[in-house]
Amino acid sequence: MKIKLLLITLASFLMAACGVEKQILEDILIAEVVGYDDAGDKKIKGTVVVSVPQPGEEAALGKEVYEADSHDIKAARQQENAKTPYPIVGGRLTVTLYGEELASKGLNDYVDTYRRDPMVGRDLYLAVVHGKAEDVVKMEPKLIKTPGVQVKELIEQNIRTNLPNVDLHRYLYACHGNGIDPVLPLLETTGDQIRVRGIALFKKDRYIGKYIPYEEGFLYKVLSENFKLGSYEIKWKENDFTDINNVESRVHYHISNANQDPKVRIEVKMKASLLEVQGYDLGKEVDLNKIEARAERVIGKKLNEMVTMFQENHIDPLALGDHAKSKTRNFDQKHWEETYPDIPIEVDLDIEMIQTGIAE
Amino acid sequence: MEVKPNETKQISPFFVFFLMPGMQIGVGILGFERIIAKEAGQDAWISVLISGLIINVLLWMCFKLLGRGPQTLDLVAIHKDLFGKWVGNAFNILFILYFIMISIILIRTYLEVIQVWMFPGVNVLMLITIILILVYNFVEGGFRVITGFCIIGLIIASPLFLLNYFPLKYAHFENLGPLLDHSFLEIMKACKKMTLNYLGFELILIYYPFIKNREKSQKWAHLGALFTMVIYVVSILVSLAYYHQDQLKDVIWATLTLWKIVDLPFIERFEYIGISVWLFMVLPNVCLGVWAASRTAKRVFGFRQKKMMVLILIIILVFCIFLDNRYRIDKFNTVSSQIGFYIVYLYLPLLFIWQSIVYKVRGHKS
Repeated sequence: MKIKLLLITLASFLMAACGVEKQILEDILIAEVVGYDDAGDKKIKGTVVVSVPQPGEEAALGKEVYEADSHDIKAARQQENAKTPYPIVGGRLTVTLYGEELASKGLNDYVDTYRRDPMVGRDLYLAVVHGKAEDVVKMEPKLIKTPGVQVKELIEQNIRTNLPNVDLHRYLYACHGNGIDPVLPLLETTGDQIRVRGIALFKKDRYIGKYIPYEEGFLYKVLSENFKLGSYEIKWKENDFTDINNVESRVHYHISNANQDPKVRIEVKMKASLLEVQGYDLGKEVDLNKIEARAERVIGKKLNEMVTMFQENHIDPLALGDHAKSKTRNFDQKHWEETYPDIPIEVDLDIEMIQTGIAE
Repeated sequence: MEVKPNETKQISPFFVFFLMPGMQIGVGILGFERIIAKEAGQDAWISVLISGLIINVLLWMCFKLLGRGPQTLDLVAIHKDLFGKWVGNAFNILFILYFIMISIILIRTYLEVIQVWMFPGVNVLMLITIILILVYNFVEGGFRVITGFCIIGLIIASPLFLLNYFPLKYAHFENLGPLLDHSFLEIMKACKKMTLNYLGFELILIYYPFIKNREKSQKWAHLGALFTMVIYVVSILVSLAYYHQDQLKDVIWATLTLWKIVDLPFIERFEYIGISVWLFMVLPNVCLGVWAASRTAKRVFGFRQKKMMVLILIIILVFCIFLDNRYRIDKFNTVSSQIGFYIVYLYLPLLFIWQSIVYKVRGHKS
């Protein structure tokens, strides 16, 4: 019994000497949004927003921006530390932004640290900024919202309607997998606001400089995943618009003969409702059918154009290559990649209007 | 030399169900996906299933080995019976080393996880010492205490298996197709790589005398091994759906990285809790390993088990200090996996066949 007691005491003494680094909330700066830009000469410029705890019981979190130039991300962090009173930690990082220029040179080197660092969560959002990332980062602290992060909420809000589901895990999934290319949200600053400009298209880790505009993000979402929100404006003629509201949209990919002469059919089934109509009488059955047919034609054409655009740029954000692989025995990756730009891809759109709102 | 533990030291056959996964599920599950997916890609789960079933066949062999002769109730007795005192003891010593090796892998790999994921600056020597003191306390308590600890560990860690729910919203189940697109050889190679994760069932050869109503324990042992298999199959299925195959190749601790996606309102980084709770899975493992090693040593050399245990703990401590970087740990893991593979897949069946022959000959003589 005495020996046991001794052992327990000994263990607790040893525990005190385990050399674990302490991180007390008041003594660290929590990085929330960080942006990287190309600074020429193989250097990058890192800009980071940190929240600074203020004394007082109900004091709001203050925010501060630091910036530094360096060759890699961790060194930039170190450089920033040269200016801060407390160490910056990345455990609660929510958004990482990359400047357009840096993104077009390839992001692999600058995402690697987030893939490797166990401190970083997998729900981190990555985004490309039209222009310089630091502009968006610097705009951040002006906003009243604390401690939530404006950019994060902006992306999260739009993921429900116009942006595809993108976070670090999904980016890595698409970037490392054969037969998929990632997409990231494209942000920009207009006046004193941050705005989603669209969806930046990537070839593996390189931003190809093209993007899907925000309004058409809905169409991309329709093609790439099943979802339940969002709306799209159809233009009939000049000054004549209808707004289609998505109730439920489902997509299926049918890929045949992937090893020899591939054919792809993308089947989209959408249940929609009408919330705003100009120039139609909804009370009549005929008109509703007309709208359906018309909407199918207009949106279908747009979808086809989008898919063709992907093929022309040799990118595969819809993961068709991956779908083909999972459905083909002895899949020939090389052959697929060679033929991809010329594969006939047919988009089959079926819209069903299930509601017309509460007014007749 | 007859072994007959006092009835107060024995356990009910039902508890074998907990001892099986208690020894089989250790640190391997935190990152086995990468290694087998490298070989068999989307068919890796089939390999997990197949090797799980093979393990059950081997387990059946173990029970056959144990039941045959008079008084051959554990491995030491079987060896002595078949090979005589000297050769038999040589084999016994090999097994002692093997159990020590398993314990070293468990502790060192778990500490590596702590070092990489939680505290890079942690003092490894101190932490190992603390863990070994804990192990000493448990093993000193005897086999019943260890069994109890196995059960508690399994109960405490079992909520972690529910975490498989969270990656499901990211799951691409079409990743599993096309089914059986890999050759038989590739699937078998993955089976071989899977062995290390199923090791531990052969401990039944050591603790068999400690089971009351031994005949009834076989059913529970098989159920326990099947339970382990189910856990592994679910883990690999979820990982294959969550990661892209090409991505999985770079993820060292796939299961742990998977926990990162867990998003609960009150906790941001669930893997920290997960890793800490996992100690309750690792510790019973180590205890069983050390217990088996010291028990066999006692039977071979005739010293008191406590003395042998202290010696074994010191050996473990020295080895853990020596294995101080990822490269060495990885190499040690690979080598032990090989040794474990040959012991389980080659030595056990050979022993089984040899025993059958010997008993047949003896039967003719008498």
